Amino acid sequence: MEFIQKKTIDQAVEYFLPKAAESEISLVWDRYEGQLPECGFCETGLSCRDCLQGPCISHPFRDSNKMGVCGKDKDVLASQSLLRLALKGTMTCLDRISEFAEEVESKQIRPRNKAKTDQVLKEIQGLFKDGGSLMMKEFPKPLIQGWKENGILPEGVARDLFKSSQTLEGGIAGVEEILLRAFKSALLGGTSQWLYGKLKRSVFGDQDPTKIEVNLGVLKSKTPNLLICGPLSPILKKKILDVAEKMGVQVTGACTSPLIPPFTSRY
Amino acid sequence: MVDKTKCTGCHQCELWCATEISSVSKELYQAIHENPQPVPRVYVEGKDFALQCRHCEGAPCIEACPNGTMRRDPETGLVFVNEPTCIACWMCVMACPFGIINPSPSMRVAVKCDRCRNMGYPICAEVCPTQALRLEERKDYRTKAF
Repeated sequence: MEFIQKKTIDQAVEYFLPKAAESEISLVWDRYEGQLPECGFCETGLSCRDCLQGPCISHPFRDSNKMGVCGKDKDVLASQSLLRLALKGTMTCLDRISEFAEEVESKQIRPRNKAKTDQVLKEIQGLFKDGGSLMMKEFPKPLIQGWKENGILPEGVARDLFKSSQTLEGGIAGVEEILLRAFKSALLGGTSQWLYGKLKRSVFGDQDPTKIEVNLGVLKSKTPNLLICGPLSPILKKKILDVAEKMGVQVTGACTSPLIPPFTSRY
Repeated sequence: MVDKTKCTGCHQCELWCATEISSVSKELYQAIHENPQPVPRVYVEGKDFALQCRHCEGAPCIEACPNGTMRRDPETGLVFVNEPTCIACWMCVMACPFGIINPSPSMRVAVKCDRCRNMGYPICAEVCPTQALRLEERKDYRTKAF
């Protein structure tokens, strides 16, 4: 439909685009151009597929289908689309920290600072159960006060996530409640990210500034190249790195934290 | 031309026709909140047919129009509404055998598809995700010897 002339400002990637086109490899730009024009209802969040009464839309220009079958109007549908995205994101964050904490507890690695690690692990348990107490001590008082007054203080998985997921049902909540619940769920995930950093530092030690190589040039010729993609647990990455070093495989990461000291012995 | 087997009833033609032609701001996010509400000129009938003006050769709407507002473009043969002279009598609405003219009290004119005669290509055909709507030359079936 539309033909976008300049795909990227990254010169390394631009160099390879004609080669990919010749080898007929489908890249993300080809798939994007094939998707155009994207569905207007999904773009503006005016669609809902939650129940059997049928996928519903809120047509902005026709009076006959302004509301979904259960009665939700366009504002409720749009804010619920946001709540769905927030829930998805926060559950990813909580899964990362829960996996990492489990691996540390099962003693797969010896932490640098044992006392601090135990404290953070206990705090993580507290976060899942009822929000934890460390946050109350270390965050600024006016911030916590503001969260409490608006009802968005994170209070554990059961109160934040399970209840927020139910506000996606029809006819229960208005726009204000849905948006506040989106904040509440997101704050739980955000607090877990803060604890994730603490756990990483107490297990592996502090990080110093390091020089790293980025972009396509890190791939080496005449060696097998392994690409780690996505948020894997640092302990798993460390194990992969140790084995790969012995076997002479070059390991790089995409969309993941860099493989630098103190996670590896050398870079 | 509408290919019934490909139309999924997704309403994208209606959405973008209203946004691009009928709205003031030409952007979807603003068009949703506009007043008067933008009016789409194509209709999704049932599950699988997108209907717009057929630009008939013997157009009943042109004959029904009392003051010559409904007219035919001599070069392209398309039927369109000359909006400044429309008196909103809705005679064309009643005369159209397909029912695709929309009386619009909020805009005070009769609203009808003009096959995007001021644009490069019809918007509904451009945005249709399955390409069920296509612009094709009209075949003249009258050249058959009897």
